[in-house]
Amino acid sequence: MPSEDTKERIAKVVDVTRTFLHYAWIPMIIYVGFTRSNPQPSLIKCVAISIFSEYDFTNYYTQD
Amino acid sequence: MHPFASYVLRNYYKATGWNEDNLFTNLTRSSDAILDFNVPKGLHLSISKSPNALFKTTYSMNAMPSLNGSVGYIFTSCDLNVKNSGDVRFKDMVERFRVYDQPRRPEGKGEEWLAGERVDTRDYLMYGRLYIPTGRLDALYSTRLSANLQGIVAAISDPPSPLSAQANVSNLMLSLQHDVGKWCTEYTYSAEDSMWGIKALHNFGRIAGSGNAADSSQTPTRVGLKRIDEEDAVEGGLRGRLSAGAEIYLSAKEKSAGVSTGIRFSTIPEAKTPSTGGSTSIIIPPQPPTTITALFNPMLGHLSGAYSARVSPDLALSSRFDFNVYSYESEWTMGAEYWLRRDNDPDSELSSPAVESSKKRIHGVVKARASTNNDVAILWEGRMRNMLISLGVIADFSSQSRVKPIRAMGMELAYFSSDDSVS
Repeated sequence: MPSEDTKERIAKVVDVTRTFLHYAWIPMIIYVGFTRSNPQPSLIKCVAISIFSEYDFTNYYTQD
Repeated sequence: MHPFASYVLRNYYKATGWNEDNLFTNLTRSSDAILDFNVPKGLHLSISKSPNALFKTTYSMNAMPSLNGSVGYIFTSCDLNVKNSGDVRFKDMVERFRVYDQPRRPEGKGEEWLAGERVDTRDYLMYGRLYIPTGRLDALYSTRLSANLQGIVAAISDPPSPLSAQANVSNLMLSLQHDVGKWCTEYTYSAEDSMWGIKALHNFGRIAGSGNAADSSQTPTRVGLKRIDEEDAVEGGLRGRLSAGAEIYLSAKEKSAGVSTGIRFSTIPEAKTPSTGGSTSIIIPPQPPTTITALFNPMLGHLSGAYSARVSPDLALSSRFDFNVYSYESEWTMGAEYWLRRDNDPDSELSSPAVESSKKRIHGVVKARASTNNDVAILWEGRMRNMLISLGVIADFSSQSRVKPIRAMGMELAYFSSDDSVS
């Protein structure tokens, strides 16, 4: 049986992990979504997308 | 889950070849679709966008009774074409009565090699939704670990704050699903009450794709001597398949357990005419797609039986009886689902009336349910221009509420579009 000290430490680690994942989960999805899609938009457009959902992406296909 | 997110998740399962019908959780899915539909309460708006085939964003707002909203993002490792709300097949968007064919063993993606290196990746889906005033987060991560194994991690998390440390609704649920076609098991763990669960479903009979098509074509041509006690097959009845399952729950924290079992009979969707080489072939009369389920929970003493059938191409009916053997409480619920079709364009070139009627486009569905305990609910879902609309009302005609029979009503508007020009 782990000691009280270890249990407390585990509880604290779990709490910190939960807080971190709570705030980092959605930015992680956005980051993965923009780095793995073709074409890759720049960072400014990343931020703009998350605010204005109706941003028109068709201009990417004419960039060259 | 939000309707658009559920739609994307269903698309993802279909794209990766995962059969949701083979889970014990979905045993009563057909009757639940007709009898347990959700009526929107208040006003809901939802706009979703798919900038490319992998990434989707969804925003929703509820205006009444209180103003709140949510922001959601979905990323999938495989391409999903969710189309637009204006031209998506309407039946794909609505939870409806359907019968599934014999389950088959799910197949993996197969290895992909490029320049001597293995480049196929594991399929996965990431979903996160943040509710704006409360800061609550809904998260889901689903990944296909192998051809027959799928893992799901789902979490609900309240923003950590020192004040509401006791009233946190946070929970983490892990689920591992193992499907081999003939049977399917699911192992779950819920962190909030340390609850372990095992669910299993077994399908009787042949599974699809087991190479027995040749055998089935032999039986019609078998003419021969009968044994002295052999009887002729009775004409009529329904041809279908049987599935049975059970689930067990154990809670370590609360030191309690739960058990429940269920059985389902489901007709097989109309088979295509077999191209046999035999001279004789049985004319198979069409049968209404039917699902009959029975559930029993010995711990709570809850018995439930449901019968659902599609009696005509546009109408499906369902009836369910719930009974508690300890308290003798019972409830009878009846529901119907009716698809509305619009007439063809007048300048279409179809000539025969049979072809015309099958080509009429579905533009809406009406669902209704009535129950001895609860209320009468009616829901209309349709498409107008490019938006999907749901209108619903719940009424209570019991004597206590004679003054105000309308309990709740609501409307939901949804719009989604996808920008990918890849076919």
